[in-house]
Amino acid sequence: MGDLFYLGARYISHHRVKLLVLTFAITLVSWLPVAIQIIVDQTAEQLLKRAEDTPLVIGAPGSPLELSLGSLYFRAKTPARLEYSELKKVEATGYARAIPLYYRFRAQDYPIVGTSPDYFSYRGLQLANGRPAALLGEAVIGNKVAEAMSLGVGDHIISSPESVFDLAGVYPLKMPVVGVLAPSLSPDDEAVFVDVKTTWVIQGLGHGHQDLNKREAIGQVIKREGDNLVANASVRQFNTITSDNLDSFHFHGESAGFPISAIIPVAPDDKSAALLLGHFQEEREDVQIVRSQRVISQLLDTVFTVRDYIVVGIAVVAIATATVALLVFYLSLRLRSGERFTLARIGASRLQVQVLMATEVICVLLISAVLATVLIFLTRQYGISMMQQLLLT
Amino acid sequence: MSSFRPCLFVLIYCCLALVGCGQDQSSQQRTEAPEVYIAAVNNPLYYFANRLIGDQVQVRLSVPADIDPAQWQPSVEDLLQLQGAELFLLNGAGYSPWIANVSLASGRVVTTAEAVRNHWVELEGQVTHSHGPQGDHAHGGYAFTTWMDMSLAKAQAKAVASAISARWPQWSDDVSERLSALLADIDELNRGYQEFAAISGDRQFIYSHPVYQYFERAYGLPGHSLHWEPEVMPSEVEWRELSEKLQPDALFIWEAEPAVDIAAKMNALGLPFVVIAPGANRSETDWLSLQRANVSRLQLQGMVEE
Amino acid sequence: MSLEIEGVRFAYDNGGFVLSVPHLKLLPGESVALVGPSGSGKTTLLNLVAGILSPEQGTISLDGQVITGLGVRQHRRHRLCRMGMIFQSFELLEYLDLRDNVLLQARLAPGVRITPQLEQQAQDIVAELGLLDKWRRPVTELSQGERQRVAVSRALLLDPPLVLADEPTGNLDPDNKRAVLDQLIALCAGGNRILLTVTHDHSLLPAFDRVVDMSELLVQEVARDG
Repeated sequence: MGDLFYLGARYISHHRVKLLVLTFAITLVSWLPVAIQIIVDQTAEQLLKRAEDTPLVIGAPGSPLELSLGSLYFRAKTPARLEYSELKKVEATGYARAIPLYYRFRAQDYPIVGTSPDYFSYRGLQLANGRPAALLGEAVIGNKVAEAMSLGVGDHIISSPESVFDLAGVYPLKMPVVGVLAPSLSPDDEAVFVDVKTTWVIQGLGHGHQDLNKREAIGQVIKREGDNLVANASVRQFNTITSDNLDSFHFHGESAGFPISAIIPVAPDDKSAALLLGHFQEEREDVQIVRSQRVISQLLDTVFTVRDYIVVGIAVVAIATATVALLVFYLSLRLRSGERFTLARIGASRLQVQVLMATEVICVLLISAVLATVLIFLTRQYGISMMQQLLLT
Repeated sequence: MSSFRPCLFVLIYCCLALVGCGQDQSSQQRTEAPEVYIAAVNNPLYYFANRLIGDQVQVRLSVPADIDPAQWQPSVEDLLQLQGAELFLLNGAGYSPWIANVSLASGRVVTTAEAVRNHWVELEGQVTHSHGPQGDHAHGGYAFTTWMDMSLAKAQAKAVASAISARWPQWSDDVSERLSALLADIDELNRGYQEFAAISGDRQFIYSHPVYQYFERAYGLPGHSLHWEPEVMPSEVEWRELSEKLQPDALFIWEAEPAVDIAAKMNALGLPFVVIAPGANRSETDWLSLQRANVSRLQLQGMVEE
Repeated sequence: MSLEIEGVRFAYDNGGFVLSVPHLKLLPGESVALVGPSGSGKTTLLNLVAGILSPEQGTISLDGQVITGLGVRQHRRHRLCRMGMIFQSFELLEYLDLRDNVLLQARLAPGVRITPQLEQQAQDIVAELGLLDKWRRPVTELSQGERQRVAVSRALLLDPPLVLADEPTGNLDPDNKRAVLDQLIALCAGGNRILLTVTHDHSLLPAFDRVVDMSELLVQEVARDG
């Protein structure tokens, strides 16, 4: 039998390109539908898990879906604006604690999430290195951000301008990285966390500048009106918050009117959550409260339908591929009729001839099956993160 | 088409997904229950919280005894401690200006004098500035020793009680009972101060520090504030300036017992003095006892004068 | 070791053709050419000897052992182990190189293992045919003459007592024809093997010890050249 396999192997080696293409095609059509199924299911599971972990989200009126996706995954392009005073209003109901989220800005590809220290305990996030953000301007980054940008504790991360032509308002803020989160297998791995006030500094609502009472600033002071010093716009503003200039940072106006994107209410129990939901649904028209799970489930229903269409499409392709494979095998056998005849004439048994002919088919099917199984296993293990790597690099 | 974008999101999410699959989920386990405690920024609030919560929750005052809590700048370690507090009791009226530039969960921060904001005393002579396209923004300040007006102290105690009750509703009855007792004690202090004011209202008051604004206003005892430290002998110039201002019925108010040589010099000048300790700092003696001691000293002072 | 055909008669099912061989005996080391017009039964006789066809009557015996009447399986085994087959179109496997084509029959033969000794024997034969420098060359890169030499090497490797060749020079140019045939005859004679060859090419007949004219069913003795 060994000699027959040797001969089979020689045949396969000689026709490797053809057989590789065939193996590749069969592997692909066997693996793809399963992979899609796995990835969609796992994604659905993760989406639902995140939604279950964040049952309620409060935001400005608009699409509940945008609000849910934005507050759970920080992916909204232009999140609707909510006033920070809403946070106090949520807390004032007595039904829940409130965690602010302001995810308008980015550092390169990663969302900068302005929030409060409660967010970390709420999500159960652990630090791999460093410490939580304690001061204005400090950032704690997700582990994937750290990996992708090669950042660690002690480095700096810079906020990106919202657009190239964004000359006023948002200017890059250089933020020291004080902590790196341990992997949480969640969107938090890919976010840059700062205090919500730091996002207001990024937005230009707060800033630090040289002391106008000091001598060096004399050139910038236009006039003195009573106790008010009027300075021109050339006052040197700091683009990094350090321990030296921290005290010079201040905000224009009251924080109550400052913007955030969403609020995660953290109710101690289901009853409080229900009361909060009722309170907002009945008494507040200027804000919306959404049940993330319901919103995500509705979205997933659509996704499952799309997935089913894709799987059906791939099944058709699979049938076509199987037909082509059969044709290839059939033509190959036809082409090898002379070989069969020769082998029979020199005395090869029928079994020997059959085994030799079947080696090709068996080998292709076996390798495809093994490859598809390995790929399915890998998909199950690393599918989503591998695709992420692929698309990010 | 409206469902297309979200679908696209999920498909992109499938690729850009934020989650590795099938990996060990145990890494998502939440941390063990952290220590539960209340942090206070000064001694009065520390005392109020202790009175109101009883033994149920630990109350911490992070500021060392030798530092005036109003001047305290927390270190990063202090801030991380504060972040762990279930409630962080802040005074308000610009007492801890650093609060604006640190990261603390607003839901845990209780600005105890917030409800009486319209009673805050604005300081004069504070410089504001404006520049650039944003125009004016004021950084004027307030006097912050709010609790020296016992009615404001009561408001602060109520704010602490309501924060505790909101956080631990199961104890709200106990808290409310304890609050009544605390308010009664503060009322008693209030009466003590009022009685002193009634008999000494017309005298000249000289305060060692400008921390008595609320006291002055509440009890009708306006006066001139210096910047004298009880343990630092003032210069001759300062003594001379003081002598020039003195009226025969003047009473000097110290924050703490002055050094022996300073006291001797005051006696030599014929200037009576009394200690009214705001009790902001951490102390061996609790805040109520400190205040009662203030009242006792004032009563004694009143009797001496009579 | 002799091949003896005694009273063999064979007819195809359609009945149009009848082959009758009263008696034919080939001696060890003898090379015999089967000639005759198309349809005279040359290849049929070769197939009868190879056991691919079975006669209606008569016997064919190799070294005294009657091989007619063996089962299909024994016939195949017999062909693999005791016969060498050479075909007009060489019948090499294109996906194998020279070495593996030479060793093909050995790989299929029961009880034969590809040992270094066997491989050495193969190399010796190939060397004798002047192809050792192309030992691992794909057969598709060889000339027609070289390919037939590879086929000859394959047929001779297991040292069969009988070599059956069906028009072995049919696809070769005149120069190669003579050369390949001479080498084949020499190798068979050297190994004391019987060589039974079907050929149309009368110019080659002098190379054989004997020529059997199928049309006359007579056994003619032909003097060998030189």
